[in-house]
Amino acid sequence: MKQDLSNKIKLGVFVTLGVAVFIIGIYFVGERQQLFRSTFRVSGVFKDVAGLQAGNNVRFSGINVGTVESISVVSDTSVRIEILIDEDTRKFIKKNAVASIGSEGLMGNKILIISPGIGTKNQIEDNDKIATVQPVNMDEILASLKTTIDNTSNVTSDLSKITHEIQTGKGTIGKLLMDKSIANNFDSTFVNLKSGSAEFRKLMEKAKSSWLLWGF
Amino acid sequence: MEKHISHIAGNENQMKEITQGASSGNFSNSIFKKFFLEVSMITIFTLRFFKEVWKPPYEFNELLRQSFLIGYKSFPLVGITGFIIGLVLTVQSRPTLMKFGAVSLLPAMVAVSIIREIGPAITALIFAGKVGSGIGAELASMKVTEQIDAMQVSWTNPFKYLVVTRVLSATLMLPLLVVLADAVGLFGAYVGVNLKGSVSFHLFFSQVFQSLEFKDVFPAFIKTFFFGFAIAIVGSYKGYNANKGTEGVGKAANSAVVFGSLMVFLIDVVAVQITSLFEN
Amino acid sequence: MLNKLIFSETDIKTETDNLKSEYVLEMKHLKKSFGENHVLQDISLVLNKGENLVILGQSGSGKSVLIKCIVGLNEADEGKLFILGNNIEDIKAEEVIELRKKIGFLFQSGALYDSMTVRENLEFPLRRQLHSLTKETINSLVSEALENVGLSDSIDITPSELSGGMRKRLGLARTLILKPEIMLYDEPTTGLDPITSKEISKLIVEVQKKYNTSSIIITHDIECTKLTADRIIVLRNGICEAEGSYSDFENSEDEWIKSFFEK
Repeated sequence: MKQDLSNKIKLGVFVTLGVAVFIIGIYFVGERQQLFRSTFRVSGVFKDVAGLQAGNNVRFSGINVGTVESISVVSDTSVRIEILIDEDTRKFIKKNAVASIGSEGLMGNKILIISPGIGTKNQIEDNDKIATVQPVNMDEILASLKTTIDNTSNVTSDLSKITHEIQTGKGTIGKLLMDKSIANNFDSTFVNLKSGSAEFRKLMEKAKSSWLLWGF
Repeated sequence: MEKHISHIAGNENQMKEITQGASSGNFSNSIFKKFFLEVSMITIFTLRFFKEVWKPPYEFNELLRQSFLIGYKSFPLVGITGFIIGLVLTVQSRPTLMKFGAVSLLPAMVAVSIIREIGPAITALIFAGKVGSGIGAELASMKVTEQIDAMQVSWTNPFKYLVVTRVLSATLMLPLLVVLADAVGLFGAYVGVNLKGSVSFHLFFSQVFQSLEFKDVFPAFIKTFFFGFAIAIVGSYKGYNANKGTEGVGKAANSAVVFGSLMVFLIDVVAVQITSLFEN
Repeated sequence: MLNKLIFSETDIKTETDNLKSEYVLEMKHLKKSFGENHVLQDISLVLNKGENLVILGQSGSGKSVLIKCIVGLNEADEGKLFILGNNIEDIKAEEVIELRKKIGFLFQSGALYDSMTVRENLEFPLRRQLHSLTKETINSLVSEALENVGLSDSIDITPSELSGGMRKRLGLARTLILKPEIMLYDEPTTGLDPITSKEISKLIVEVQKKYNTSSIIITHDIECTKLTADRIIVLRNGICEAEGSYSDFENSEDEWIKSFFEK
């Protein structure tokens, strides 16, 4: 009977532990999804949400402050998003704050970025409509990248022409770098200079020993 | 219904006839017959469980005793397995993530794998090996030594006393074991991350919960009830309908593990399909 | 003198009275088959109050099935069964259970619960059937039952630590603890050495005298039959072949019975 009682206590500890771990886990998962905190809701309208999904994070000054609650198509040119923001950050977000869509790293999830408004002192209120900036689409980036690449290729082809000409000794710089006769001239000049300087040294030695110049 | 059940439950010789038929030639036909008979018998067994579980008297003390044996006593094994799996999974995933320069995603990735799949599946398989075979062997030896009959003539419903309590305990205990195994597994992952890198516990913790959502946690949690139920039902069925003789005990224990594990995978496949239905 | 055809006179008498029986137990034209295997073809027998009835037969002659039909572990296909005078088909299912609770069944292997200690094994039927018992009553009943079978000092060990004979005794104690009116013994001496067999047989007789139970003993052990039987029925091919006392059978001229009783 005693054994029975201690077994029941052990079972009780086991069950309590399991349930506690489960509840704590659920609490922390839920906290991230802002379920157990007081939040307020604002909305915004985008032309294109660039793959933003319900549940994506909302960032303000680089901190996660909320989640995207829902996304719905309003008309053929506008998509309305509802976001939930932590009540604690309300005082920092002004009425003229601007929402934009960015991403976590190059391949990461989309995020909604709220930039603080400037100038006004009025806090944002529940169900306010927030101003939006259209996101830069990856396709557009690629399109502009293409012109850049085209330009770059022109530049490099020109450059290769120039280097070719230099190589073959055409033009002033080419002559300078590639003509051997110039180098030979330089050579002989240096030989002359060398012998000249040797003569000069002899002269100087003589001058040193001359009493006229004693004291220098 | 009652009549029907007792009719089928007492029909071991029907099985035998069909088995004998198999040896006498008409092979494929009998295999199918045997399979469908088995399916129908296990279905009736399961239905009987649902019928008996509501009927008083409730064997509450036996339920607690079984929960202790099935739940508490399995925890050390499940805990050690969970820790090792968490650690190994982390160490094995690191090189791949390193190729993509995404080692910082390691805690998040491991957490999602453990919570969604590895934790429940590994724990259920270990559980099938320990508890499923245990139930199968215990009930089979009780059957062989007439203990089940003895219970019946003591006017204790052996199905209620033996099967219902075990199946209920397993159904309730496996989810708890999985939760604890997940927790221990995540701790193993933390150790694994820190074997070759340095991540503070706080950062690890926040990265793990950053990556988890309810849609990761709940489907994985709910399916563990089905795992526990299936393992215990299969084990009880195999034990309760064991053939006479010591060979029957071994066979019951063996097939309890084999079919229990198979059921775990089948349920897992169904669960993943249902989950993905709701995710899109 | 051996009666080759039993029940000729009782058949006529009970034909008019199908509702009641004056015997502790009565079976009429009981039939049971498993598929094509007709185990019990036509069994009719009675058990008198305070009597030890031995049913002899070869292995596979349907002896075990016969007594399992009495407690309901097997359902008979056809025939009538009277328990303590009541036809079980005529009364409610709950009443049948109440009647069957007055029957004790000793299984061949003892059928002790391996997961429980000796004490818990004995307490189990008590707690199951008599819910209002105090702790003191249960304790005194348990020690009384153990004394009856001579096992007083092994109360807190598990059955796996007991010898074969002790297991049988414990099984008997567990059955007797509910003070049954009818005892059914399924091969009580199988698997025991001759000395222990003798002890168990003596114990069966003691029990019958002490509690005035009526018993059916299923066996193929002639020694046990000799010690316990008041009356013997021999079963062959699913029917009652012969009936009589031990001396009747011993002096029988029938070849088959002779071969059975010869040592």
